[in-house]
Parts: sequence; C-alpha cells; structure tokens
Amino acid sequence: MKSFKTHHLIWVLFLIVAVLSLTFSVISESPPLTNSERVSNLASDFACPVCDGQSLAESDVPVAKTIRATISTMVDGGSSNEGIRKFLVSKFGEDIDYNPTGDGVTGLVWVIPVAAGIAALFGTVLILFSWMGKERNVKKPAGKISFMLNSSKWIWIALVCTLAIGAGFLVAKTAGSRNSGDAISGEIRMSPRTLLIEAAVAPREEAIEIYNQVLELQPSNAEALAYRGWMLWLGGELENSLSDIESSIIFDPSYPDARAFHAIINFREGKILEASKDLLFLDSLNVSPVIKDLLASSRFRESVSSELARSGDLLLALELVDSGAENDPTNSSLLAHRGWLLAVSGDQQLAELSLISLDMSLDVNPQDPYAIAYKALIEAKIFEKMNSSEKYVEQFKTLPNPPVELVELLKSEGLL
Amino acid sequence: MSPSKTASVVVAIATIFLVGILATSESGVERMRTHLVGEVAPPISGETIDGSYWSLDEVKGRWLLVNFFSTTCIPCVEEHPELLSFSENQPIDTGVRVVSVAFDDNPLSVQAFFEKNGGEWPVLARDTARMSVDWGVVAVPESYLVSPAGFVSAKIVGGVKRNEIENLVLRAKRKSK
Repeated sequence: MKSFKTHHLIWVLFLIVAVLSLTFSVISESPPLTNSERVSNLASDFACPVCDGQSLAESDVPVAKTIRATISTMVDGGSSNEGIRKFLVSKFGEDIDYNPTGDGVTGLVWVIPVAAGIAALFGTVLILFSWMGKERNVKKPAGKISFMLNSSKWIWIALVCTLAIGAGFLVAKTAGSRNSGDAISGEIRMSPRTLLIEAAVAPREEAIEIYNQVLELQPSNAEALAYRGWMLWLGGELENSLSDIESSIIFDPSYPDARAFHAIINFREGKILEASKDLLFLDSLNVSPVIKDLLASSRFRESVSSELARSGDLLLALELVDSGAENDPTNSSLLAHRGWLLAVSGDQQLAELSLISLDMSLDVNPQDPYAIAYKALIEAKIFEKMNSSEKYVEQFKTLPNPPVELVELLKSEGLL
Repeated sequence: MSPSKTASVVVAIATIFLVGILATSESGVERMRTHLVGEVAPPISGETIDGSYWSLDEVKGRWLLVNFFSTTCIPCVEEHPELLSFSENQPIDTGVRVVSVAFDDNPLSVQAFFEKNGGEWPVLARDTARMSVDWGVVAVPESYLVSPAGFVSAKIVGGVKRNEIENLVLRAKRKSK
C-alpha cells in the first residue's frame, strides 16, 4: 500500500511541476517590444507581394520599402499588430500573410493537415478492422507468399501511407511561423538575406556559388544578380557579367549598386557616354556608403568627366561633376576637378572661372591636394603669376602622402 | 457499405469539395488586375511638387485618373507622353482630371522630371507611402479611373496609352449611366 501511494505521489508531483511550468511560461510577461522591434517582427510576418519567397523585412524592392514605411507609421501611430495585419491583408490579399487566420478559404491551410491526419488514422483503423474480420473468417493461408500476393491490401497500405505523408508535408509547411525560403520537408535552408551577407565576405569563386544559391531561391533578386555580375566581371567574364547586371537593373531600376557596376564596366569598355548616363541616373538614387566610397576612392566621376571633356563634351563633363557635387557638397576633390576641367578648356574666360571652383574646393578642405596642385599649375601656366604659384607649390610640399599623379604632373611642368 | 468503399466515397467527396473551392477562389493575378474596382477610392491628399495642397475631395463630381509612377521606372517614363497627350486633350470644364502620385521616389527627382517632360496636373511626391499602400499599389505604373461619385471604375496595370484611357473612360461613362 505504501509503495502504491509513493508511486502515485511522484506522478502527481511531476504533473504539478509540469502544469505550473507551462502556466508560468504562458502567463509570464516578456519585456515590451520597442516600436522598431514591432515593425521588424511585423515585416517578417508578411511576404513581399512581388518577390518570390522574400518577406517584407528581407526585400529591398520599392513596394516592400513602401509597406515597411507604412507599418512603421502605423506602429508609431498606435495601431495594434492585429489592426496592421488586417489592414495589409485588406490591401494586398491573404497571400501575403505568413500566418493566415483560420477563417474563410484560408482556414483550409490549418484544417486540411489535421483533417488529412485524422482521415489517415481513421482509414488505417478501418482497414485493420476489416482485415481482422477477414482473418477470422478465412482459413489461415499456407505461407507468407500468399499474403504478399494479396495486392489489394498493399494498395490500401500505399494509399494510407501516401495520405499520411501528404498530411505530414502539409503540417510541416503550414504549422508554426516558418520563415520564407524555408523548405517544406523540415530542412531549414538559409534565407537569401543570410546568404547575401555570407557572400559579401566570401572569396570571389565562393561568392559566385552563394549568389547562384540565392538566385535559385529568388531568380529576380537584384542584389544577387548585380553582385554576381560584378564578381564575374572581376574574373574577366564580360558577357555574363553584363547580362546579370542588366537583368538586375530591369528587375529593380532603383537599385544603385547595379547602376554603379554598370557605369564602371561601361567606362572600362570605352563607353564613356553610357557610363556618364549611368552616373547621372545614380545621382537620383539613394546610394549606399560602400558604393559612394568605391566611386570616390577610385575618382571614378573625375575619370569619366575628364574623358568626356577630352572628347569635346565639356558641358556634359561639367554636368556630371556638378551633379556629383550637388549630392555631396563636401567633396572638395570634385570641386577641384571642376576647376581643372574649366582651366584646361583653352578658353580664357573659363580659365578665370576655374579659380572660383578651386577656391570653393579649398574653402571646403584647405588641404585638398588636387585644389592646391591645380592652383599652382593654373597660376603659373595660364596666368603667369609665379609668386602665387610658388606659394601653392610650397603648400603642396607640406602635404603628407600627396597623390603620385599630382607629384608627376607638377614635376612634368617643372614646378617641383 | 464496406469500410473501404466508405473511405473511397469520403475521399472522393472531400476532393471534389476542395477542387471546387480552390477553382472558384480568386487568383493572385486576377486580384492584382481588379483590386479596388467597384470600391470607394481611398483618400489621396498632400503637398504637390509646386507647393500647393491637393485632395481627392477637390475633384468630387469629376472623372479622375490616378496615376502611380516613379521616375526610375522605364514604363512610367514611356507612358508620360501618352498621359500628357490625354490630359491636354480633355475639356477644361468637363474632362477627366489627372493626378500623379510618386511611388518610392525622390521629390526633387519628380519635380525635375515634370519640369523637363511637362505635365500641368497635380503631382504628389512627399509622404506617399501610405497612399500607395491604401491603393494596394505593388508595381508601378498603375492607374485607376475614379468616377464622379468617388468609386474606382477601372484599374490599369502597366503603362497607359492615350486611346486606351479614352476608351476606358467612354466605357465607364456608358456603364455608369
């Protein structure tokens, strides 16, 4: 009797602990989410309406950005998650909701797996009872072979198994809040966003492989197309590279990185006019700091505008420089370059105007090596003011690590 | 009835039921083409690129073409001359009015675009995200024809042609009579 009571007591204690733990975990309050966390969570709960398998949080296409901005405004305005969910579904349909409600036709995604599971169980029980009844009535067969030859049993087993496997797949697909890009069978693949982050730090060959994987999941991913194209170009595959980058531009015309790569490739291929068009278009987009740095550090805009001026299109060259300077008024190098383009035009009036641009550059950055070197050259060679020129040459000599091209230029003109 | 036959009948009925439901439900593409048609036009209001205030209420009682566009979208740039031609040929008092709403675009780029390419109708370019979502815009260009009573009569996905809009307006006017 004693051992019986102890045995039950253990089970009762086990149950109490289990129930209390579950209750506590359900009712315990988690810290309130910030608005930004709520926006991020909600964006992850909805599919981008025009992307293949990307959530609003993962996608950078204009519609995803627009909806994210609206979610943010609604969250800041005090809307509840449920209110925002209903609003978005009313505007873009149930298809975009990763966690659809249980009513209407959409409710089928929750009902079908359960119904299929119950049907499979019910079918199995029915068949087993049917066989047991037959086994009782029919004389036991001679051996295993006769059972295997009874094909109708195997057909039913196959049907029930198929139904059960189908139900399992449906449950795997619909149960819980699985993220976009996750596989149906439970193999959770990496999301395109994670892959893109991984590709950004991978060596070239490996990065191309990762971009291939992203494009398998999302053939229209503008970022993967642009960067795969860039990697291919770095490896010397011009045709494939251009095909990828141009596809990226078609899928998302406002993706600045693809435009920047297109501009660089065009320039390297001698298509100066096309490169300048790309750059002018790029100025109307929201360019990432990485791309800005890439273009600025390579003095790409200066190179393109110099080529334009050399081919006789000084106006377009100036438009390109002005457009860049308008976007980045603190870029003293561009202002200096503007002065240089005017000075070497061969026109005395423009040469005088060049001094204004150079002064503006020095106002922004008194240590700009280009402005100092160009001032020295222009004062000496165009206006023949040697004293003024020498002053700038002396200032240039004090600069730490001046660009080699400027040193060579001043030396070739006999100023250093 | 034997258990296997009962199971077969149940499975058959369930299959027919599911096929029926799925076949009659609206597809995503169909929804995209007809979204908002027949419904009250969602609100549009805000500052235009010339600095004035514009609201949908200002054109109540007039047919209106609402055009969502972006200066970075090639079909939008291509459709602009058609919109221009359509707008310029509308009678001042009774013609269809046009309003453009920029979709994820830079207001300065929009202003420059209209200065360069023309277009005298109101253009909203600031804080347009909520309006785009209210109208369920997913990919520009998208245009909506709004009746004088304020209901959406038709939706055009993709670039518009002047004669297509004119035909659409004629059909909508006939239908509303």
